Amino acid sequence: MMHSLYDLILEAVINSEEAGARNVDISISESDGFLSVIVVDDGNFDKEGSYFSLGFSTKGENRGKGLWYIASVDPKATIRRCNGKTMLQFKVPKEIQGESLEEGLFPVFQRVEKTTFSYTKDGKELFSISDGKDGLLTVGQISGFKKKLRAIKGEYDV
Amino acid sequence: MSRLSLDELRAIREREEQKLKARNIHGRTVHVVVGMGTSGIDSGAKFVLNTIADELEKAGLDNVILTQTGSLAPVKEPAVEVFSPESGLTVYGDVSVEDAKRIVKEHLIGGKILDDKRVAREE
Repeated sequence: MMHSLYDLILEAVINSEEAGARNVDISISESDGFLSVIVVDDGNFDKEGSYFSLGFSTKGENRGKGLWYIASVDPKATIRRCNGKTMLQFKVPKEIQGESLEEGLFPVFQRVEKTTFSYTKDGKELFSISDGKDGLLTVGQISGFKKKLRAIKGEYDV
Repeated sequence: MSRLSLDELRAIREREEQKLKARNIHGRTVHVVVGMGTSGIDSGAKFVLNTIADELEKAGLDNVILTQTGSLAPVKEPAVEVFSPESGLTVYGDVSVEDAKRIVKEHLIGGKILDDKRVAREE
């Protein structure tokens, strides 16, 4: 199965969530037809090993596919611990972006206490969005969030 | 139709009750949960989640909370759970985008459980 950019980001956020993260910051930098993705979380990082190997997991059997998907798209993907935070980095061609910002990004939110997503193009930050302190649970909150994503998509074509 | 044991159903109920308490979202009567672990995403749960969100938005159902959770195995994914005072816990398996629209229209608005998609309780 071909994974889109947002599938890979979602897998990264699931990994953060399962590590007990409360805050996740996702940043994308677009340059020369590539998207560099950095996902930083404040979850645990409690086991050394081959994080990108198929089946490697600290969470039990039949797990460990998420980061493997990322490495299958970018074999140079890295994950490391720095100042009490975990940083996952990978780079993909822009063509795999897949679905719209609204459809792709909505499932990325809702998973931890606070998620922030920012997008930079050619060194200039285009936008940043987060689910904030009120969460993203009720229909009114979801509707407002999706409207913001549609407006961003219309303004920046990302 | 796949089946869940009583223990599995009990575990789901306890987990959701804890989540509701943790999020302090009393006052909303219906809770819809979509299984969004890696296996769910592989089988299209992302589209089901977006469809339910869009249909809820169109219908303006203010009494509903929509959340995600990890894998809902052994239910065939994409899987959706609906908790409501009227019908209790209902688990749907192998949910397509069209089924997701039906869950909103027939179950959440119409109050009728979709028997053809419901995962039966194991006696």
